[in-house]
Amino acid sequence: MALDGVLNTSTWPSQKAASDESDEFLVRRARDGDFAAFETLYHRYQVLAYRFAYQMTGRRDDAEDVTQEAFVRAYQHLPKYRDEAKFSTWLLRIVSNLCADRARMNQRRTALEQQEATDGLDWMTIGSNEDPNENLEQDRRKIALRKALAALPPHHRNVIVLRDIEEKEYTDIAEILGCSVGGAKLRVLRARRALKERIAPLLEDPS
Amino acid sequence: MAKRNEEELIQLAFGEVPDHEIEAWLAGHRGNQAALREFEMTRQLKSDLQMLREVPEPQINFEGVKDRILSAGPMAAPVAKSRTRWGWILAPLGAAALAVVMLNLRPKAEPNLAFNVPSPSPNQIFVPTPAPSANGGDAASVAMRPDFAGAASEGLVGGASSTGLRAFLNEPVKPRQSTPERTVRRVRRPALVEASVPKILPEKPAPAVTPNVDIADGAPRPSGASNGFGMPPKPIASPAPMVASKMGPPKAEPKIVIIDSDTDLLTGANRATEVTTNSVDVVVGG
Repeated sequence: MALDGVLNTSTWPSQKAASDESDEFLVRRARDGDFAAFETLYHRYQVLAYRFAYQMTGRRDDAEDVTQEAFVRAYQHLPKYRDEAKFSTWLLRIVSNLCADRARMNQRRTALEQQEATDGLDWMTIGSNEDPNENLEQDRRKIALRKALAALPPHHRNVIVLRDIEEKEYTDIAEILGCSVGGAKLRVLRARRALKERIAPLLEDPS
Repeated sequence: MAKRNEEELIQLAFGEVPDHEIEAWLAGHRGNQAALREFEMTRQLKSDLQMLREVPEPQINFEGVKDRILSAGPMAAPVAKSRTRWGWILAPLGAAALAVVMLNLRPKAEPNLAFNVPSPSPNQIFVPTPAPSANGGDAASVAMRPDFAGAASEGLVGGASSTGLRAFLNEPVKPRQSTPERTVRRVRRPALVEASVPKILPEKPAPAVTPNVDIADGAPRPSGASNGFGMPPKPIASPAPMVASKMGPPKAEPKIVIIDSDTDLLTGANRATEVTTNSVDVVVGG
């Protein structure tokens, strides 16, 4: 069993050596029971998965939970992973599905909780300009964008995050969403329109 | 702004089209301030979205993932690709083949179904059903006539075989007469027999044994010394007591007549034995 390697860490190959390998090679080794290879994959894509989950959930604890769960599921379903897709794409698809499940569960979350989650981001907005006024304006826009993004339906938010924040290719987005490239383009266009409609009133209102 | 124009603007502002198309669009709308402002606003939206890449540092480590993997259980079994692919093809074919086989195996109408019933053996023993007849007699197929008693007793050793008897024995068994339900009903309703039999035979005390009919399967089974097998009569387990507790104690045991396949030499009719009284003064026929 592959998990035997988890407990006997002395038998693991060095992580540095494994990190030089390609994803396909690491996946194959992890599938054969080399848990160190899977750990390398984890360190390689942990931030990507977490960032995507964070954009989708808007909460750090939720994003962390989704990220961990995504790697657990990825490990469990490694034998089902087909090499035609990139590992990162496959992983993001798992994260996307988990976020969609979580969004469905959290539909009853009160508006107050959502507000708290959004307000919780305020302390993280670090100004990148010397001009304090410009920093304030930038923060305001960022907060408004977060609100607009959080208000979008999950299927719109999903493609906005993938395309405009994570800057994924349409082919990858199509694989993650399980649709054609043309379908992915159409979804991105619709999601941008929806986001534009939602952000406009937020930017016009200075309060 | 029209939907089509808005979509075009979004495509341009988000850089989904080549640069020369963007420049051509900008040149074409140089005098349209509203369109240019909208374009700039959409471009700003694109750059603002890039700011959202900044997220707080995650507080997770691989140990947590490892623990969850350990608690979640083993890896899923690998998927057999070719098997799965063939399954999609073979499953409908198999279903269609099964349907064809089922259609072919469907029973067809047989006009002479009654003749397919196997003939009873010559040693088969019949217990007629004591049903009231229209003329007030006992059973339609059985009559107990004391005037033939002597002759019948003398013909016990005779051999069987007239043409009529053979024809009777080779006659196919009617399903209704052999159903267990009908036999059980006959045994459990002694009043029906009681009401008609005493008109012909003098009443005798009924023995304390269960009638020699196995009501479990409904098949009549002769037993005891009277039927020539040399076995004492044994009560046969039956659900009768349970029924009797509801119906009350029976007034008299039913009269059971065993018709032998042998023919009486004097009467020409089948020999018969009344089981409960060991009497052979029974003649088949109306």
